[in-house]
Amino acid sequence: MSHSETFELPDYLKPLLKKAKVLEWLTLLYLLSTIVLMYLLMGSSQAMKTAWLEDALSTLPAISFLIATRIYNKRPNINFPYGYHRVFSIAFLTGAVALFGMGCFLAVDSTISLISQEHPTIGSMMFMGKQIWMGWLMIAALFYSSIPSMILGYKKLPIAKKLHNKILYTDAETQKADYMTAFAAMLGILGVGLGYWWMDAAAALFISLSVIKDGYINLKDAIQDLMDRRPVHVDNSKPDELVEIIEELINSWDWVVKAKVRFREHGQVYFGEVYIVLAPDVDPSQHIEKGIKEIKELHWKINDITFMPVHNLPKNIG
Amino acid sequence: MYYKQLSYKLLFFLTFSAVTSCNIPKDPEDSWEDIQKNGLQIGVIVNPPYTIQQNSFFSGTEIELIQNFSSENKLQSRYISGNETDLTDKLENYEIDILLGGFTKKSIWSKKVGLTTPYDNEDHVFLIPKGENKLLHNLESFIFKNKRK
Repeated sequence: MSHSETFELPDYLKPLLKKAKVLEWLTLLYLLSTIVLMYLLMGSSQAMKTAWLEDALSTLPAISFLIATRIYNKRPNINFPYGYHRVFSIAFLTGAVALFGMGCFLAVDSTISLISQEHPTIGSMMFMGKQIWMGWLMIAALFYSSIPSMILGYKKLPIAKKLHNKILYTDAETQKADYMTAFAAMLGILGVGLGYWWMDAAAALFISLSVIKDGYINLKDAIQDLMDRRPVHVDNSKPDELVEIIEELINSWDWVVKAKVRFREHGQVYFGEVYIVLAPDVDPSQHIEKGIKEIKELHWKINDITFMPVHNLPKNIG
Repeated sequence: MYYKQLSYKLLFFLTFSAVTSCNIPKDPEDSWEDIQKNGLQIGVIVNPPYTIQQNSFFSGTEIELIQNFSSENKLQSRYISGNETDLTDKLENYEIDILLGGFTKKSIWSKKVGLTTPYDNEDHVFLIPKGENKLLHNLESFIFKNKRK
């Protein structure tokens, strides 16, 4: 009675996924260039080190998105009868763990340099025949690491919402807010230039706290998805009203006395069960397939529905 | 709306940078001002041919360089000789301003103290107190000038 679509996305969304992939490739290349540039200029600034590690980490969502998009659409087979949709949830969890762990490490590291009164030494170099303080170059590198990143984030955000793709959404959100990190790091370096050594470590601490915050939110979300929480919207984690709409639709059918549904997210799409009490003398085989078709027409996200005729609706399904 | 806000921030930042840029970088512990008042306190670890000590007379390639630096900046200078542990400790506590002894940029002390840019092609550096970026800036501008000659 269950039937799983092999291809998740409707035709009108396929070009959007393609665009998302192109954007993620661009993101990856751009991030690699900032990572190299910032590594070369990092020196002994704690804020630069933190901003650098944050940039290095932000390749993870892009990489996991690009890997996951190669796998998620595979046909279900004997070993994976539910298909590969959840690869997105796993990729999301991996990224979240990395972000959270690294945030904690950076917070401890910055706190240590604050307590041990680590004074960052920032020298100068010859650039086109002039002596130039490395701090200015670091600030320039931070500009380079933030402005294009923001633009990419803004471009990815609406696509992520339409595709109901959490990795892409998180990636876009973090990139959009990346200017905060860069700005904090710039202030830290400028502070060092003005003789306030602690501003560097303080900026680093601020950045690492924002990394921890992002990591924690993502981690919570990723775990809840894998715990089969009911579907939620990607942008605000509010319950998706689609579930209620489905239940109402089923209850409106004349061959159904009453019905109860439960759904969960499998990556970009929803899987779920429908418990129905049939009207007397109804042969379910005639109606159920038509019913599934009707439900799927509600939204492309509804990917897999199983119908279960019962005498009494189960009470322990939420 | 969002971009507008951001561009204000940028503008503020750039103005702020421009206003302050003439005296950046500064020393958190005011080494450079102290040096101009009380003279350059030079730590020396004997390591020929970079640093040589005969009684109270110091010579060697690094000593010559620092003497040139002092006279260019019209600084008094005083030499303090000792072993590496003591002198790096003094440097860490801002009791001396510079430490000579044929160190290279791969020095094991680089966690405790600051390094200048190499003054020759063999990666030899001077050690300075950590984070004294104005002192570093002045030393490096001397090093860059000398390297070009």
